[in-house]
Amino acid sequence: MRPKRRLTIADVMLFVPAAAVGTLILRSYMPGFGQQLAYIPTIAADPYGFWRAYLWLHGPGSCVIIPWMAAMIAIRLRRPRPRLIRFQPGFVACVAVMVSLLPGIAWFLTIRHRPGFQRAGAFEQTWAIATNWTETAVLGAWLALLISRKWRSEPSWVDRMGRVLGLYWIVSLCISLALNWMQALQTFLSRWMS
Amino acid sequence: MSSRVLNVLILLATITLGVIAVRWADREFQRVEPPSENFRPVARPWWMWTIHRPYRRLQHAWTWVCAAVTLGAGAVALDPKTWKRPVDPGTVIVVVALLVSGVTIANYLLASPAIFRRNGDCYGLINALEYRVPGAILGTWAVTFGRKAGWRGRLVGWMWMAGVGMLIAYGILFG
Repeated sequence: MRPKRRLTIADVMLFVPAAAVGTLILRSYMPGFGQQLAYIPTIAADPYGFWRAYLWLHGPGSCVIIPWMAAMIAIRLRRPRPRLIRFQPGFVACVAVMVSLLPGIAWFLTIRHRPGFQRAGAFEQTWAIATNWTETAVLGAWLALLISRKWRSEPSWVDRMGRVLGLYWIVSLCISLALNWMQALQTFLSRWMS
Repeated sequence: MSSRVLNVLILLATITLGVIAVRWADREFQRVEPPSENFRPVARPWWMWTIHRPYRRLQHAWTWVCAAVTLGAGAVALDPKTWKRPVDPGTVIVVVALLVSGVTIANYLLASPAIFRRNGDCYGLINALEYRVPGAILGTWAVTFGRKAGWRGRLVGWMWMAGVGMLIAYGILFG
């Protein structure tokens, strides 16, 4: 039987710089995010603050989550590691998110000279472009594992943490869909009642 | 009905659907983005601006070609006669692309806020599809990487990724 993977000082040492990077990204992201919150009334009436809560989860949340997912890949690759880590949902979610950042970063590099990216608080827009393809990456990866019956979750903190971080993207996507539906229902009911 | 006849029918339906969708998308493109001689936001050689509009038209229609091919490949992949275990990585890619496209289109048509539909459904659907489906395919590739996928899966996967490539190339050419 393989030795159980415990949380070690080396793991914590990988989380600390990831948290630092996350905080740095968050610091650059927040000034532009304030402007984004001001746009909510143009998207939808938000009497209960659901859209605001979603934007907080999706925007600043992703700034913190993504560096942690990068750290989780390094942690998972440390020894002792199981043979088939490519079928572990936690590891797969982290890899999928990292891979899905590549087109966004490439696209941003080609348009970074545009005036919109030169103004103060433009990092929020940069981050939105970089994470454009990330929203459904975990969903795609986990669906692929389920359809091909290769879901090999491991009862260890490493895989569980990866799954929790992956779940963040699924929950975020579900909330965005649910908010759309809630608003559509609200509009339909208000038209029907009047 | 034999599976070969069924596949030919699916192929014909896919081509018909693709042609109808592309023609509609092109009409919408001409309506929303009429030709403009003055559109030259960056300094590029004159001959590059001659390819700008055809490139934009192709880029705009490409999502609909991908959607039609995904639907056709999905119809073949979901046929119980061709469905076999273990599921081929190509079939996984097709099924994931089909699911994500289906949910995205349904969500857009039934529940999307009005602000996202300002330019018409064609533009709104492209904006919804061009990130979500390639994102899901990238996620699927993280799982199927290194395993040989069937040609339908490779076709669907690379077609959607070609759309992403076109977007990046547009940034390089006309950024």
